[in-house]
Amino acid sequence: MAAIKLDDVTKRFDEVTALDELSMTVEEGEVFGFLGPNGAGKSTTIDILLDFVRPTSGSCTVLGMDPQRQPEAVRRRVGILPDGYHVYDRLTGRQHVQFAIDSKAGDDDPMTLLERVDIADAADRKAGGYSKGMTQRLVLAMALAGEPDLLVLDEPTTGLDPAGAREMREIIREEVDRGATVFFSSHILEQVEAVADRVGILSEGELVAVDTIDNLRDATAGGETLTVTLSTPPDDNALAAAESVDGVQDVAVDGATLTISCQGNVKMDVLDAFESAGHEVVDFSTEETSLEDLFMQYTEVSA
Amino acid sequence: MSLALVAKKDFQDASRSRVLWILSVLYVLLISAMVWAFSAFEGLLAGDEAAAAAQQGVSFNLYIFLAGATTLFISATALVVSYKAIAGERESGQIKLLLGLPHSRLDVLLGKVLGRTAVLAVPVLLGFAVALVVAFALGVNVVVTEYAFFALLTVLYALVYVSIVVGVSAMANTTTQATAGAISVFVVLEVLWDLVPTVTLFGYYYVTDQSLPVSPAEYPEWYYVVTRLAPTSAYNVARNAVLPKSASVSIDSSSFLLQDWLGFVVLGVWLVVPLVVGYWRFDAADL
Repeated sequence: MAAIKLDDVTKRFDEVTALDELSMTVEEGEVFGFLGPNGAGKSTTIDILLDFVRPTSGSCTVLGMDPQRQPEAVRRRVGILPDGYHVYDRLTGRQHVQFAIDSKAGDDDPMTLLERVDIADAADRKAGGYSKGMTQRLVLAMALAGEPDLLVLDEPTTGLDPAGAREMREIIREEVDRGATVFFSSHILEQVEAVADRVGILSEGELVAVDTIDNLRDATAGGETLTVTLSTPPDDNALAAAESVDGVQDVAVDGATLTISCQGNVKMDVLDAFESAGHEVVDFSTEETSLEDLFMQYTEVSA
Repeated sequence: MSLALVAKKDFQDASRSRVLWILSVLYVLLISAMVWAFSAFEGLLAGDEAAAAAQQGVSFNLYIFLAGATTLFISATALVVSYKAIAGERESGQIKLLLGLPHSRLDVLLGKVLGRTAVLAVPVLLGFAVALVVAFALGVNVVVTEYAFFALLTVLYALVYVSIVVGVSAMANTTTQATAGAISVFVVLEVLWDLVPTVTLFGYYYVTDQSLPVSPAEYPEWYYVVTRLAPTSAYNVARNAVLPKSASVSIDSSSFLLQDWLGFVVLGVWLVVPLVVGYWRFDAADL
């Protein structure tokens, strides 16, 4: 059974079409990264899954249930870190988490959850005095209450520093290991790349790509950049040999260091060409086309 | 279960703010002061004037005296305490945490009504309790069961007002709309509801060139039927149904429409209808 299934979901706000016949499936047990620039419709999609917003047309199921018909049943099994939330300023962190546990009829210890998100020392302080990052951790702790089957995280790393973002990824992995499905949105590519099994790219309310990150990278026209350091600056023969390798597009020389743009997996061929031209390769590295390029390519093409 | 959780959290949140303390001080001082004032007036009215008043069909007791103050203060404080109950949470995004958990929108709406009513009821009951001690100290003749009935009826009145204002808050998309709606409701229920029939009645006598009846008791029946439909009048009428009868005007109540127990029915309608309309709008809303 799919954890999330959307069928031709359209949502219009007055004249604005936020989602245009969006169809998408998230399988059970996977980490699905929902990627797109701000305003692409990510939060609207999540709001529909939680029944905060009703679709204009189309249907969806969450864990096999229709959120419009059984919103409470859906939310009993889903942990949510929403977008644009606000905590109860006068209640403490512990009270927030306890409320989430009670609401889900769970038996978790609030302190254990607060320790997982690393704000146990602030448990008895009013949440109104928390920093943005602490608030984000608090709401994540609320989402983890009751061992949800599905975690829906809208821009989970908002307000977190790099260490916090890494902890967030660790928690996502722990939850997946426990058997949960994780659906999270982000406009920050590194976050998605680091943790997602599959990625969906949303642009202007339409899904422009869904695949694993590796496949997406292959599917784009982008290639690799190869940096090679030789023991001595290359002679013309060596350069000609390198340029003649199939797939090499450009070779730039800076002393003994060469920067080579190429398409496909031609790294070994290039290194062989230098060695057979009598040069010694001291060091080399490859850099794949960044996801950022990939992302820009997808979202700009459709824009 | 879900409803009780939402109500409890709502009350917990408010009890951590200063509102509960401010209201407690307000109601302790207000009700005690009214009891003290009554004890002073009672002495003045004990003589010939009281007899004269009674002859005109005007009777007087502690509860009608207290009701004059409680209606004004409770309607106003209910408005302040409740107008942002739903609209404010929608605007801030708190509702996403609440509805992200397995609570229905109905649980949220009713939980808010109960939570906010508790925020009002605790100070009101505390005020009545302290004022009872004041009454004993001043030697005011109070039947404790009647006094308790009146306190509970006043809490019912608070519940009705809170549900009206929470209903309006649930219909609003923004706090600005909620504020405008709550103020409009207050003006309509507390000012216009009495003013319009009175002006209409006086206008009718003026246009038809009749003189005003000497006693308000001779005003036509429809005038009383209409004015009794407002929640505040309904509270006063219901009071007459369960406590020693007292009214500023003694009217003929042989008509079915002027039966005092109908006050409870009217309060019930005000309790339910705004919530039904509020829920209907809130349930359909995109948050």
